[in-house]
Amino acid sequence: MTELGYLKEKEFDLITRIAMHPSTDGAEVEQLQAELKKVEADIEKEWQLRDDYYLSNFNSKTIEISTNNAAHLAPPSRLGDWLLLAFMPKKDRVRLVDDLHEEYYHEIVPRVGQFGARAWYWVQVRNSLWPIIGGNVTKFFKWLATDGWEIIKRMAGG
Amino acid sequence: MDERLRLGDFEGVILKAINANANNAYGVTIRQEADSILGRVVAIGAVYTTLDRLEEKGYVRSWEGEPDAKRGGRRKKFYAIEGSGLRAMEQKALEVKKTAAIWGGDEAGGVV
Repeated sequence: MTELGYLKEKEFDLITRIAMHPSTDGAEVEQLQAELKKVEADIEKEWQLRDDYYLSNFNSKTIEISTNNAAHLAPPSRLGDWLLLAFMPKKDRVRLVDDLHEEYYHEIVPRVGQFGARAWYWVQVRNSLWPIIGGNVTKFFKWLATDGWEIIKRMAGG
Repeated sequence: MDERLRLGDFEGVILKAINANANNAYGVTIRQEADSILGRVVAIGAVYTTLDRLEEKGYVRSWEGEPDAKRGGRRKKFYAIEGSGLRAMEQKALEVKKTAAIWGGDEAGGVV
């Protein structure tokens, strides 16, 4: 995998150079814009690679996570991880799960034990997902409570 | 100030959390600092959504760190505040002062 940090730095540099350029068109600006497009495509490709890499590990029996005593543990909940990977915005979902695991294993489990840590983990999953899918769930139940149920019954021929 | 660039309350908290962890601001430390600022558990999802928004506004920049053994060899994403982010924080502090003055209190929440 290439250095994503390097690509992001390059993207930042190109955006700044385009923004600071005295003219808005011309051969030089066009060349910078073409370069920027290429870097953005490379970044997208890099994210895809990382997602694939993570998902292939995710599908194996355990995700190896080094802890202080070098033990390897399974993730706190496969379902929780899956929900986060499925519904969180694509850009940072892998990083988000990594952060959650790091805090879970290195800080929460030693402090409150496995059971308490699981509860903490699920609060994190629920609170992370609710702002994204909560609105739609509420809308769905409101719709079901008003005329949705009738529509479903009619469609089922009842 | 452009309305799209206005700093929200939670965005302000996240900027403050990045500032407090100047050399080590990534998801975990930012979330923990936000927890202690607000005195409640902050969701990691909310932190990342806000960081994304702050990056779009040009208030923070991010880069990848080195592979970390603690994370099974995966990298952290670090964040730092840009100059525009610091100015937005100052602007927000002024707004809070003005609001506090309207309601007859100081910015720390005490009633004058």
